[in-house]
Amino acid sequence: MSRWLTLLCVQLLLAISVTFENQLILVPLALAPVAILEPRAFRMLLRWRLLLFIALMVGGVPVLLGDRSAVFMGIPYAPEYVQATVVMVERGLIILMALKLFTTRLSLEEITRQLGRTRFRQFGEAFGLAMELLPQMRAMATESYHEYRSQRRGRNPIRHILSWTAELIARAVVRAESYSYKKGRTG
Amino acid sequence: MQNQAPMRLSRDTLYIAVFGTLWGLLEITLGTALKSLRIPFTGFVMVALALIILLAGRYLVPRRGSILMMGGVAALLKIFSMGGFILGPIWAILIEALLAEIIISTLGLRRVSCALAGVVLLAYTTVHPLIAHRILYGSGIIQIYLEMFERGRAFLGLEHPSLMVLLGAWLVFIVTVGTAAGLAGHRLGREVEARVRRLRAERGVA
Repeated sequence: MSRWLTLLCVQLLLAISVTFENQLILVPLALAPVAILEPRAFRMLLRWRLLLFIALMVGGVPVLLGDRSAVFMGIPYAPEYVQATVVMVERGLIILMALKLFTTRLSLEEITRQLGRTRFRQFGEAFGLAMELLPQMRAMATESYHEYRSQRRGRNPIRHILSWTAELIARAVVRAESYSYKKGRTG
Repeated sequence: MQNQAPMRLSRDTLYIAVFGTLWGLLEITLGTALKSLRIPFTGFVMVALALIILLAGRYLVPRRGSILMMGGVAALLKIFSMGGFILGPIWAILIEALLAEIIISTLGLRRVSCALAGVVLLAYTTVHPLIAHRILYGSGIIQIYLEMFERGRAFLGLEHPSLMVLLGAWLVFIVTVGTAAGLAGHRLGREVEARVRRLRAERGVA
């Protein structure tokens, strides 16, 4: 995990060092590990919300804001905003891609093991147990929600929802305790 | 209850796992559903619900760092449920946990501190997109937003007093909802403890 963390740090350092002048060197350098190791991460670029954001940043901001001293195809724009927004978008993309690469290289077992070796041992144990409990809790929440819906008529909705939440949490706690006892893990 | 062997979990660890899982489950299910339905103010709804869970959790694990650990568990569950890192929600969960941890650790688990935690968390949710964008895109983005805001204000003909009224209304909203969520979390902790005792007694568990 430490080498992926190192790679992430290097990529983040490159992201904050990008300027309009050095972008042609630093941006490909920062994205190269993603292209080699996790090319699927680039699918993120196909999201329409991200594309719209990029289009508005690079295409919209220089036309609407700043000192529009230059003209492109008859449209006045602010050149300093073109430079600034291009760098911003590149920086954002590098950070998003770097984090995507880092998290796809993580494994649950490794996180739990690494945390167990450090001062965060209790957190590692809690996370390991949480992963085991998640499917059970999901099923229990659905089951409790059906109970809640069948009982809610004619009651104060806020009091009823609080009461239902307390019941759900209490059941989750007791079930987690019994699950943990069965596995011989609770002291 | 203390650990008896390295592999045995204390009751505190178990509670942290349970409340972290509940928070994570809330983010994975309701959070994702609300986002995909494009419902406005999703962030505020999620923060209010998360606050109720984490304060109830803190009531059962009354020690420093427990809220932060619940937040860490919820954030990791969210990462693995999405198959990757999405900066906004993960960062929000961790910061919310940190803020609540600081307030509760400093002032203790009282009604006032719970209400304050609610107000602070909702106030943070208002500025969270700006902070996340500042980290992602650099300081230039704030300058752009400020200029856009000023142009928008001029275009709509809004004067500063009208903006102050809007800001005031927003503050009233944050204080009301945050206080209600904080107090609900405080009350829920006691109720959960009573119900856990009852359920344990029904099942014959000590």
